[in-house]
Amino acid sequence: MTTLNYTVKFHKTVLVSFIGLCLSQSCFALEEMSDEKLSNTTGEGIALLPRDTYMVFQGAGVNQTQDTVLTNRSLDTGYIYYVPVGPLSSIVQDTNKDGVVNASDHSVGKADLYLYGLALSKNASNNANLRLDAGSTNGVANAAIKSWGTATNPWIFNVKTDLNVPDFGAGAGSVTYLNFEAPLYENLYSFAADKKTVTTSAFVNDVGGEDAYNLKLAFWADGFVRDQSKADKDPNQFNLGEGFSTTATGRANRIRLQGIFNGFGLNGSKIQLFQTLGGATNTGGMSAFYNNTLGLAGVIRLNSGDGSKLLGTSTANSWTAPANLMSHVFRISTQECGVGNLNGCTTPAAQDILSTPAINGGTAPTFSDKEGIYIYNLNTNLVLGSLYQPLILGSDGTNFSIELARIPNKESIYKKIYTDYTGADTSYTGSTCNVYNCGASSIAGYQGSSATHSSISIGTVYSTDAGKTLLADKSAGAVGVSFNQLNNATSSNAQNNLGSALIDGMLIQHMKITTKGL
Amino acid sequence: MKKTVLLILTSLVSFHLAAMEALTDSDMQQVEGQAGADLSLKLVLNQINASDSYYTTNNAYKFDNGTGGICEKLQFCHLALSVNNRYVDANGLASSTEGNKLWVVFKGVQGTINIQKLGLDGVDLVYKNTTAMQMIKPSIQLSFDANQPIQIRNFGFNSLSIEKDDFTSKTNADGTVTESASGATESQYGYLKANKYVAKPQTTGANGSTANNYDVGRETGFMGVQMNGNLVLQGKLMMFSCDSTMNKRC
Repeated sequence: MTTLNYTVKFHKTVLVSFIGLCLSQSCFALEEMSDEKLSNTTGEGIALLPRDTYMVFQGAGVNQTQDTVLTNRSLDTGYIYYVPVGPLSSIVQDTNKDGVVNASDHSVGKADLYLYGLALSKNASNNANLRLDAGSTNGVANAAIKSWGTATNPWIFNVKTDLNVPDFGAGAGSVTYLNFEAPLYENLYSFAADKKTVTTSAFVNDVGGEDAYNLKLAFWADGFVRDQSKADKDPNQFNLGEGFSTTATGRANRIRLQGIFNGFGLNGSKIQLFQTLGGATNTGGMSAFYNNTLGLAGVIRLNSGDGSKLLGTSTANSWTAPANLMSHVFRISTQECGVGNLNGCTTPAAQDILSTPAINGGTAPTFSDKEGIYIYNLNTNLVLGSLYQPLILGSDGTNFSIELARIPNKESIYKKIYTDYTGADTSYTGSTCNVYNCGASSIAGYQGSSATHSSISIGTVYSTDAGKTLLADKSAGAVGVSFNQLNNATSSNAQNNLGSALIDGMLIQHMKITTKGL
Repeated sequence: MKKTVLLILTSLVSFHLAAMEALTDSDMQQVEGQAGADLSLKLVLNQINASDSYYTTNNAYKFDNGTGGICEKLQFCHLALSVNNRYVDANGLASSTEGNKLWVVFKGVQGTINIQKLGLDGVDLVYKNTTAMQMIKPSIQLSFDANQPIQIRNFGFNSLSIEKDDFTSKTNADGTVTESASGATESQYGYLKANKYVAKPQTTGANGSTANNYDVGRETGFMGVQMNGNLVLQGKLMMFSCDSTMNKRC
């Protein structure tokens, strides 16, 4: 047993005074912060700025030097595999819709999908068949994005509060949201007095951050038809025959494709995460299910730039394609090089029709450089909801749904969303997000991000009202989509030129996507 | 003697507490930083580990669900999320106030992520402000090398499923959630349900289907994800405080 022996004897009063003094220090406990207090806080946030960066998903194996990474595309076999768990329903297997599943139906398989070699880099050489550009200068890869944004226009991750956001009912409230924003899109485009002629000015604010407007996204993929009656790794797992529950070897039960998107930017995109406001009841087409749950809103902008000047030259017996088409193109191709290839790339030998690196090992395939669908100068500006029209998640217990809340019949909300295209009633403040602008901007030199309508344009597209709305060019020189690469022709137009395309001013009034049969 | 002790003790406790003061950007610039640190991080989640007694070269990176493994009881290798106020009421309809609570369950969560090299440095970010004056901002710099890729092995989950509790809960006026009655058992919670598919023979007719042998032994759900490869990442990521003097968005 231990006993304590004191060498100094304290008087009780001394001890009491000491304890008293110690206790008299004022201490403040941590106090709970209310939502109101939090909403008065201005978040400074974290700024993120990637520099000299690129990414490619290569196969599991030993470390490679940067030179090998940049030049050897056959190593791009790192993959993301979507495992098709869950049985097929009777509804999908009844292919002739006679109410019964039997030998009269075609076979139905599950989809086995492997996404390979995902790469994100700078578009350095306008090559629409190369997933990552080769070469380096002073040790920095040509494919590296020099600066994705700038110090004064970086990626931002912060918490913000918007006051007086109208709720689904009669009231309003403040919404605090987690905000993730890409760099803003510099206001590069100005219109002449005719409201049609566009001038693209040089970068002023984003000097040094130009690469953010010239990215390259690439991947290749293998998709299989899987026979669910065969166990995993069964030799016949991909040999599903034509009829119900049959097996046939030698069928081409695989789709192999490559996707390359050259010369686009993400600038101006943002995502907001928050708790929705309340006030909705199950009347007037609304749902109480909208109330006080996780809400999402975002603007997704994938822009290739102004397309109004992208015009070929057409005469009675000649057609000349616009220059530099490959600098802004989204291409999906399926043809592999190999013996007998009509486009001339006869080496290396094509891989087996049911082979894939994730299962059989080996290297990434070599794709032909001329075949495929080409989508030129794609500008996608998608507005998905807002703080007062959120995207919410729901479920009935087995299936799930993604719903963009219906716009309430409430003036303070719908006047923020709808557009008066005549401009007569300025109380309607909605507008369309396109490459030229995306709503009113509070920051000089940059485009806004408050627009409410979406726009998707392909190829030669112009505006006649200084960028408010867009029109697809219908002249013979217009380009947009083509099967196989566009080439000069000796007739008035190239045979494979399908022309430009446009979806403009798209407003989502109410959208609900529900899965079935899970 | 008494007074002296009291005096000494009093002086001991009367120390001054200085509040923490904000460091200005110019203060930070005065600091000479030494070379930063290179970090190596390896995460092995629910997979057979090199230190396990049953580890062999062939079962590396495999889901550890064998006898005695971490995930022998599959329900404890789930990752579940419940979004605010998502219920199904007694009529099977969606409700945001009361009912059986809904969960998004990632089943068989597993993976190995080996970040071979992550450089951590403090650097000065030099930029020009709106009046073209050169400014310096201290920043954290994370760097990655292409020749030391991030190794990702079987990272993902075996199936994704929507599950609901077998009992009801409700959201109170103050926003808290309570179970309607106490006494719920382990297996009644949505996120602990670990049902598996069994073999199904071929049938024909209105509810017919081809045989199902692929899903046998897998946990119920609708989609799994698995990542494998060397993620080659080159570059530097600057992280700095975003203040309103340099950026109006903050």
